[in-house]
Formats: sequence, structure tokens, C-alpha cells
Amino acid sequence: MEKKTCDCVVVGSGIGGMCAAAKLAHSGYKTIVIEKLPIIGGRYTQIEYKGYQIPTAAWMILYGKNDPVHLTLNEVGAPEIEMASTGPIPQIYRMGGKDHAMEGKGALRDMISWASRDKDEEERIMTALKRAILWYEPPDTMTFDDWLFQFTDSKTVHNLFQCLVAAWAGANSWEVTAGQWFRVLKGMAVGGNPFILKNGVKDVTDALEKVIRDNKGEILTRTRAKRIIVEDGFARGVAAEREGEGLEIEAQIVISNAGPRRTIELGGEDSFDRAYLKEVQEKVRPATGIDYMITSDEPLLEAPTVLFTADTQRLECFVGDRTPDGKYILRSASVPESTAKYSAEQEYAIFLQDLKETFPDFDKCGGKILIARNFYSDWPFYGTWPGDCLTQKTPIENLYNVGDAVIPEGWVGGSGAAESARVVVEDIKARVKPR
Amino acid sequence: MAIIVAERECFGCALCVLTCPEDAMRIPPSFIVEIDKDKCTECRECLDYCPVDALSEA
Repeated sequence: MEKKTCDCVVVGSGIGGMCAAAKLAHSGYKTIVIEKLPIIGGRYTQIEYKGYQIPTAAWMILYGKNDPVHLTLNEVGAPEIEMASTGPIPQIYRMGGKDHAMEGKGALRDMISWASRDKDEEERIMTALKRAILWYEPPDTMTFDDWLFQFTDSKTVHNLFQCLVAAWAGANSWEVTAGQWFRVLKGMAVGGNPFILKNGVKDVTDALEKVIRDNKGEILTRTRAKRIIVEDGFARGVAAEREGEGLEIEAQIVISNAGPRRTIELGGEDSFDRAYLKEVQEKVRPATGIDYMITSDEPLLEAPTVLFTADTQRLECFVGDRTPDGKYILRSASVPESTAKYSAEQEYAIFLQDLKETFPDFDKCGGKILIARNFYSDWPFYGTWPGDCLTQKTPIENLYNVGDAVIPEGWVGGSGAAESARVVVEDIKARVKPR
Repeated sequence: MAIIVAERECFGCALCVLTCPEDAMRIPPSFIVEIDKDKCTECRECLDYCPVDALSEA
């Protein structure tokens, strides 16, 4: 059995694990990342397929210059990454047979004004929103949709929020709680314009990889964690398997980017207290749905534009884009009526109908679905519904979780995963010195 | 020998489709991956890429 020793071992090379590892290595901690897959980056990279770069999930830096991913790259001294777009991306909401563009400052108010039946309704909704953001956060005992029904039964207003909730939370407005949604909404207000990377998000993962290696860190792919070594309530390292051989990594700190459920399996259920097990059981629910990459000879939607369709059977989000070599692509995500349980086959059939309705010229433009993928279970859109805020620390001392299932309040997706890494690394720096 | 799909585990994330060096895999409308036996060379690459261990060698 091969043995290694380090300060910090990270299980999983998703954006949370890579941000944590890059920060730690950059701060002088001897860091080893182990990754089960042959590639680095998890759901924050891309794979070339038939001449197209297909993101494994994430494809932009959501919060732009305020994004924890962007801030991490700056902090660890990574070189500038080339961007295709750093400005606002035009957003179109197709509701009630009309298109409405959302843009600029006060855009949400404009949208609500447009969607409301009269001035009274608009004021009622705006006041309620302001109060919920600035004064009293509604609790998790009610869904956001039900919360909104207290102030309006307008289908257009409900649809508007369904677009926002689906795009940012990866779930339906009748699934997320009012509390969850307002925690996400607060973060949206902090963020800047999203960054779209010229060569895709793999540039981020590559940059972090370089920082880790330049600072004497190691990243081992095709290396599967078998067990988190726990002694007397302390994490002591990780037992892994690499090319059929055992590998034991002894460390001061263990960071799991494998998701809290897998962390529990690796550490052994008996090592965790019951309250924690219960919390993970209740809170860790992946945000799921089906994602489509569509190619066409003629543009179906101008690049870059986001189109939300609320009149179709499912709410769909379409993003028009162009590859660096000028080919037209259309990304789409479709949110099932229940993200907890759905038939992918049925959702696919519905999507095809919605697609034809939204783009009547689909065939004429040479539209083709390059690949349809179901993001689900252990390979979801998001590890948990945003706003659930499971703690990064575990009951096992020196064992932390990072990633999109343990996102701090206000953030979503890969950006939230990077924020979880920031919180964890701050804590480590305050408690443990590099050996 | 052949690569087999655990139908209860696979949900169609398509990582194997994207990385198969022989283009032998596809996601049908059932979202359970299908393997083209004529193209598959049993290189086992897909076993390493599957995030939920739904693929194995029989």
C-alpha cells in the first residue's frame, strides 16, 4: 500500500474542491486532491464532443466580478481568463403571448409593473418583496408560490417568478420555500453581470489546477476514495484506490467535495451524530432537470440572449450562443413539474413539442438536438436546492464539506460552491498551521 | 465480455456518451444509455467516467 502525507486532502475535484485546494496550496498547505473520474473539474468543466465544447454543467461565472470563483482566481494569482462577454445579457420573458425584455436598473420593478393588472397590485407586490428582503425573511414553512398568492393571484406575476426561481434555484416556485427563495434573491442583488468565458469554464479549472501544481500540490485522477479515516472523532486522512492499488493519505484536514451523503458513507454513519444525519437526510435534495444542447445552421435565437418561455407546457430557458468558431448553438433547460420525481422520457416528449412551438422554424434553420442529458441524483444541476444552507463543518473534527450541497446563504451553483470553499479555507487558516 | 448498463442506476447524464472514444454510446428517449455493440471495443473508459457506477463489465 502506497502512503502519502499532506496537510489537506480533498476528495473530489469539482469547483468547490478545486477552489479550496488552490487557496490552501497558495497559502502554503501541502494539498492533495483525489478525483474518481479521469478528468478534473466535475460539473465545472467541458468535454469536446463532435466538434463542440459541451459543459459538464456550469458554463458561466454567474455573479461576474463579485463571483466567488472570480475572486478566488484573483486571490491565488491566476492569470486573466479570456471572456466572451462581461456585460448584461438580454433577457426575454415570453408570457401571455407577449415578449418582454428585462434590462437595466430597476428591471425587476419594471417586470412586476408589466405583469401586474394595475398600480395597486404592483405596489402590493413591491412592498411585500421589499419587506421580505429588508425586514422580515419569510419562514420555510410555506412555498414561495403560496407566499406570493397572499399578494396576487395574477398568473403572469406567478409565471414571472417561476422563470426566476427555475433559472436561479433549479426548482419550481411551488417547490422552494419562501425562505429559500428570499435567501437566493438577496445574493442576486449582490452579483454583477455574468461572465461568459471565451473558451468555456474549463479555463477556470485549468487555472486552478496550475496554481495547485505550482504550489507543490498534487491532483490524482482515476483515484477513488474508499474511506475517510476517523479516529476518536477526528478525521486523519483518506484511504483510496488507484489503478487497483491501495493508497493511504494521512492529513491534518479532510475536505470532501463528494457531497454530504457520500461524505457520511465514506466516514461511516456511526461516526456522525444523529442530528447531523437527520439534517443531511432532510436538506440534501438535488435540483434536477433535463438539459439540451441544440445546434443549427441558422441562428434560432440571437447570441447572447436568454429566453424564458412561460406559455409552453414546461417552463424552458433557452440561451442563444455562438462557438468561438462561429457555429450557432442553443442551450436549453427544461424544469419538470416536480423536480423530485419525473419521467425523463415523458419530459423529453413534452420538450420536443415546446421546442416546435417556441421555434416554428426549427427544422428550416437546420436545428438538431446534439445531446439531451438528465441532470439527476449524484450528477444534478445543483447538489441541493439553493437557500438550504447546510453547514460546511461536520460533527467529525477537521472534516469539512465543500460544494454545491453546502452553499452559504445567498449564492447558487458553482459560484456558491466556490463560496463554501472560501468559508472552509478561512476556518482552516484560523485553526491549523501548515506542517 | 461486454459492457452492461445497470438500468436502475443510469439516468442519462451522458458523460459516457461525451467521452466514448468509439462514439458507441447514445442516450435514447428512455434516458438509459444504449451501447452499440458493433462499435464498442470494450476499452472500459466509460466505467471510469460513470459518476454513479452504472456501467460494468460482464
